[in-house]
Amino acid sequence: MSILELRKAGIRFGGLRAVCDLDLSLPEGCLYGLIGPNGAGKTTVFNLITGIYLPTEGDILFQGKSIVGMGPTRIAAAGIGRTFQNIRLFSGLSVLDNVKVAFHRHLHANLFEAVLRAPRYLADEARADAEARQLLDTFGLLPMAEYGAESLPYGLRRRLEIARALATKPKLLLLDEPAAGMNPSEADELMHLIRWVRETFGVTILLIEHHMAVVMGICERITVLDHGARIAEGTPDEIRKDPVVIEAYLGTDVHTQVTA
Amino acid sequence: MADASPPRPAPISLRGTLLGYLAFAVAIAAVWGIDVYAVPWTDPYLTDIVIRIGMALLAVMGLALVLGFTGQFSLGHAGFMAVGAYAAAMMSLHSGLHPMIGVLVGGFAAAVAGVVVGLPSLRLTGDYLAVVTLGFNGIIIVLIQNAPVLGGAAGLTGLPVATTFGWTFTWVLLGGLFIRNLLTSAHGRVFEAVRDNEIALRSLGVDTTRAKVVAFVVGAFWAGIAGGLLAHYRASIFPSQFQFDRSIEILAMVVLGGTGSLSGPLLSAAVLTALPEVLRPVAEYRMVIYSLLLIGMMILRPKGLLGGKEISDFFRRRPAAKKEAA
Amino acid sequence: MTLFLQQLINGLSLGAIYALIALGYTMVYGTLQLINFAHGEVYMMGAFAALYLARFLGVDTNPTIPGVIVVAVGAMTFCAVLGMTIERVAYRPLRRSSRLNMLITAIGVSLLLQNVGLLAFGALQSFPSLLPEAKWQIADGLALRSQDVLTFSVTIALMLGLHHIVERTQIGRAMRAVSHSRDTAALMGIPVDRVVSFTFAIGSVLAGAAALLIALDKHTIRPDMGMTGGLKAFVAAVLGGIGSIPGAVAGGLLLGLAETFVSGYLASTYRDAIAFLLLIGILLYKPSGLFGKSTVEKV
Repeated sequence: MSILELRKAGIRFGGLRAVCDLDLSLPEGCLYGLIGPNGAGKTTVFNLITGIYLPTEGDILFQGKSIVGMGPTRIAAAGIGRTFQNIRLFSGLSVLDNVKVAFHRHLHANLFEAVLRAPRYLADEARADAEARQLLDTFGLLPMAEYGAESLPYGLRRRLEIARALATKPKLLLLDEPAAGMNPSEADELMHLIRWVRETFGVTILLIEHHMAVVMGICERITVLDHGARIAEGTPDEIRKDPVVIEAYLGTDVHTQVTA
Repeated sequence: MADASPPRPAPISLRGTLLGYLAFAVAIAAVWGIDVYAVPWTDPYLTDIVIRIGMALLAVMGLALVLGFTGQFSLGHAGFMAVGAYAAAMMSLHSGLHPMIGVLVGGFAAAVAGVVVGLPSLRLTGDYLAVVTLGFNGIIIVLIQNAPVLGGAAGLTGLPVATTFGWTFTWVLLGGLFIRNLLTSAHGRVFEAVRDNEIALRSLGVDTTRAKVVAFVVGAFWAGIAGGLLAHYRASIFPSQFQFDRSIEILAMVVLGGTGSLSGPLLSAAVLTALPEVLRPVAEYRMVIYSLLLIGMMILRPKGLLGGKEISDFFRRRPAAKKEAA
Repeated sequence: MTLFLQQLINGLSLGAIYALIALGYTMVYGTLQLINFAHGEVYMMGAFAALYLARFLGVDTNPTIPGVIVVAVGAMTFCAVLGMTIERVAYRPLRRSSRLNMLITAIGVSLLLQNVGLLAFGALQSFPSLLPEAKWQIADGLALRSQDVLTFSVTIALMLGLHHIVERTQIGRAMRAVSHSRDTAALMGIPVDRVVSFTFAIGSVLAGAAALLIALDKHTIRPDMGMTGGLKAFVAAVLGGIGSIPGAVAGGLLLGLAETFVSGYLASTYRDAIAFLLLIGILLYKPSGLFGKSTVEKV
């Protein structure tokens, strides 16, 4: 059964059709890639799924139910986590607090209990603290827990953003160009991390990526977007050989880029 | 780099909490001790300045929460003080209850006003909030001026005088504890996350509008308390006390003290309230000085004097270098 | 009916003033995404500049048409220089810092000018009649004053001029490009700083004109007129859709009419609250304003 399904989903900005007639079906537990040239509308697809944009056409189903119009907060609460292309950490908070914020939804104590430091709040806080530290530990970030999030080097910020998204216990995780700005060895490390996250946390992952090595190396299925429309869908091997995809990437040395 | 937030003390323990309560009780006792044994022998002029500092502290701590920590630009803080002041005054004039009950009612009235103003405008981006709160401040004044029952432009007189040193600083301690504990709780984290990146916060399933409204309402409540105390300080209140320039004054105190700091704004509130008293010739040019300070501070040191730190951070033994990641 | 028409004339006259000031807010917002709180104070300073210039030239006691024109041009030039100076000194150093910081600075500048005005000019001053004033009785209870005619004609002339500049000239094209995207415009070789400066100059000239018109109409000027006038004009700009030039005009007229009709038919004391009630209403139902495009936040 598919955990996420886009049915002829699309959005126009004025006259521009940023995404149109997009069908996408993510089997539960898969690691799915979304690729395409710059400006193909990949991030827009993420914004449609997470409710930041309202689709002007079509439907989006998560676990069989339409999530169109629910808004980013409720969609996230329903179990869709994400990271951003331009990392969006809470720069004024520590690494630990960045993760603890994600537990806010699971807080039992109310505002007054929090202010009065009532036992229920202390229990909440202790639990959030323990879970956050454990999560940071699995991501190798525990030694930096007390540092300001801004002080982390780039690669660790990406890791922290993924850890934070996982703290909401999502069933579906959307990663927007996690390897952007990384060198080949860092990208390779990230590839293992993503695979490991899927195994460890049992999430379905939808991935936007430019690093072909990463996409081809870990995704089980791939959809290729160009000009907001799907031009190909299939396994990495099929995509590699697809003449339409090669056509879309024309202008650069296509074959090496796709097969690299 | 190093100017990221200071590391927060790790989870609040039960022992720390109990010690905190104990310290609070001692502080309250000290305030009343001073009220009974020191104030009667103190120069009334000095007492006057100290009480006015106390009221400024209450007004400023709310805005420090809303502006400094949550990043919401409210320009109508004096409007909430007005609501609190008039609600408290009406209680005292017509109910016969203790004036401090009136002050509490004033706080709640201001909180209700905070919901009414905050709900529609906090859904929008910051600029709109600035204008709506400014407008709210204006509307409140117009409404009071046109309400005979509230004394119109001439204001209300004959209110019971009850704002003593003891009561003022009891409220200051309560407010300080409330806001400090709120900021160091899970809610405080969310407020700062709202300020830093609203979109990311929503992607974590946190209702950001709700968080903003909560901060706004808490800020309004303490402004209302400040207003209620003001109403019972000089036995009279009038609408022009709560005009826009008063809001700006509170804003200046927060911004100069440092956005993202609680003790910074409190310190600057105390200094800026006392300064015109100490330097008499300054009084006339007070607003000119505030505005020059605001402009200069934004250009030279945009995060305010304390730059997002608390006074206690400067005395901490672990220096900021600890935060530098490998 | 005559009452209605009379209110219509009064409302449009007031609305024209709001529209002129609102244009300055909307143009600056278009280029810098900044609510230039100091704009109202530029308008106030324009009125006092006109007063002191008229006194200096003796136009107040011996008004002549060329003299009045010199006063008008002088006041508008003063405003332009003031507006550009504010931008240069207070806003430009903050071009890359957060919007909150710019907003606080704008409030600081506004407060500074207002309080300097208060110290320098006192609470209020009367403004001389520089032009002959007439009142034409059209019907019973319906009169047209020369001041209204002046306001209408000057406003229309200025708006045509503005339209020409924005739509037909090189600098106008550059202004539109900058308001579309400052960074892209800079990459295209548009001198963004000059364009921003020019935008402040144009907006301030319009505010100066509005100040003179209101001074010639009401004959009292006050250092706090920028506060109330500016705020309402800002509301007018939001009403029309901030960033939109036709929106500012429509918003100004709408607000002028709303205020006049409410104070004419209901209670004049609530007049100052109208602007903000309209503001809250529009924010609830159509935050992008009447003419505004809803913007999508880039993620």
